[in-house]
Amino acid sequence: MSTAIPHHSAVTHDHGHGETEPAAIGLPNVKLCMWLFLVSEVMFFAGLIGSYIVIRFGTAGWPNPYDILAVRITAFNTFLLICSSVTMVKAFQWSDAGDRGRAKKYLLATILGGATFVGIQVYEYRHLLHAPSTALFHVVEHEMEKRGLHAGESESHAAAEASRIVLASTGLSQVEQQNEQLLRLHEVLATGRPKVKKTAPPSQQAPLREWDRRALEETIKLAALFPEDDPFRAKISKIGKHHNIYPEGFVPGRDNFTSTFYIMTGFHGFHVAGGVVALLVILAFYALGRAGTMAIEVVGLYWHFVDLVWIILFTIVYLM
Amino acid sequence: MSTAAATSHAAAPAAGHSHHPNYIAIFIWLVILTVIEVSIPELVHINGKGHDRLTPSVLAPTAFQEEGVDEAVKQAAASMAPSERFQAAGWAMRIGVLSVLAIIKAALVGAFFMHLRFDGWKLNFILAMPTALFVFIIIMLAPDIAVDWPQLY
Repeated sequence: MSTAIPHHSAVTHDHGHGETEPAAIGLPNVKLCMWLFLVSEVMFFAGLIGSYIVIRFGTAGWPNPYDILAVRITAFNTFLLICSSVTMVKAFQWSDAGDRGRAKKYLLATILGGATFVGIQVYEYRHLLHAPSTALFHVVEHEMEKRGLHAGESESHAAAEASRIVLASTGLSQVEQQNEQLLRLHEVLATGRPKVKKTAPPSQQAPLREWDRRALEETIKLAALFPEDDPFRAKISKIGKHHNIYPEGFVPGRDNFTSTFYIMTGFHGFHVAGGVVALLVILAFYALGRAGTMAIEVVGLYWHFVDLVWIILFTIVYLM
Repeated sequence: MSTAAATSHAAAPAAGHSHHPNYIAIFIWLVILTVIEVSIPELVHINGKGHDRLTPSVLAPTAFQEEGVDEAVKQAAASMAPSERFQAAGWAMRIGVLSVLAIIKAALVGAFFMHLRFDGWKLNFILAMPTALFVFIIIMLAPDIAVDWPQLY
């Protein structure tokens, strides 16, 4: 690969440590290859996003993502990915200027940013898949213990009893008085929605607070153990549906919303994780002097693409 | 955004063969746009069922069967209270504004971080093909959305 193409548009590129490479359409081959790979990636995500749009607008009653997803944490994750894009491009800039020491530091910062992004995404998934028990649930458990009810012995009976404890407000009056949230839960259970001022227009009705939502989830779990023809169970089910409650957790395959959420963010997460591994390899080779500026530029293209895709995904999945 | 500001060279590293715009300026713009983007749903929070005002869940099923989707949508729009109209308009506007902001951010990343602005028209031509197909896929799938609506009942 030592002969440059004798063409007016062909250029040769220094890898940062001496060798040159023939160029196509004014770009080094390795860079062009990365672009062609990214073109195929564009089509991959086009399929996902196109399907999402059809499913999204073809599904009645799509939940408001703000009610379910941790948008603020993910907004921070978006900020983190943008920061890592800047450190990536700065690594390229410093390497291009011949300062390999600073280039390595910026590469390391990019790796840390990417790894943190993946870590936060895993935390988000864990949170969605396994919502922690609520204060209400602990209160119910305590009451069950006091009454000598054990889930292992007679689960149905114990759960039913626990639900009745909550719903009939019997045996919990003291706790109720101390806990404004419990009062709000009863409000929700009684009316289907939190109390609002009579003067407030419908558009200003308060959405469920996070605690109410969790408490309602737990209550729905308990209510599921009632006989199917129990009117209480039907009522709770209706209230849960109204508030887009996911009593079994926000699991893939539950409905169109959960499935598209995990497929799109999951595939992107794999891309970020793969990018972190690639960056680690490039950093090691760069530190050993076996990779140059071109390697940083090419892996950087992939990294910026991952950032670009996230910008689109974050908007359509979390904000719309 | 000022093109001059975006393309002015960063102070520190000056050597090398590549064109380096002011990456920090691009970064600041990306952060500003992200803050605006995240603030929009916070400010225009549409709760509960207001989110799907114009989806079939609020349309009369009989209207679909007898008069078609367009008429059903018209009827639903006509029957909405002023506050509901505000919600529906807010939702549509929110989607429009968010889409524009996301496209601007993606364009900034592509043009400056990925150097598309400096790498020549031939590369941009190669990228124009999948981008056009991307838009084409969305447009071609759009009728399926309308076709599926009546089948929800």
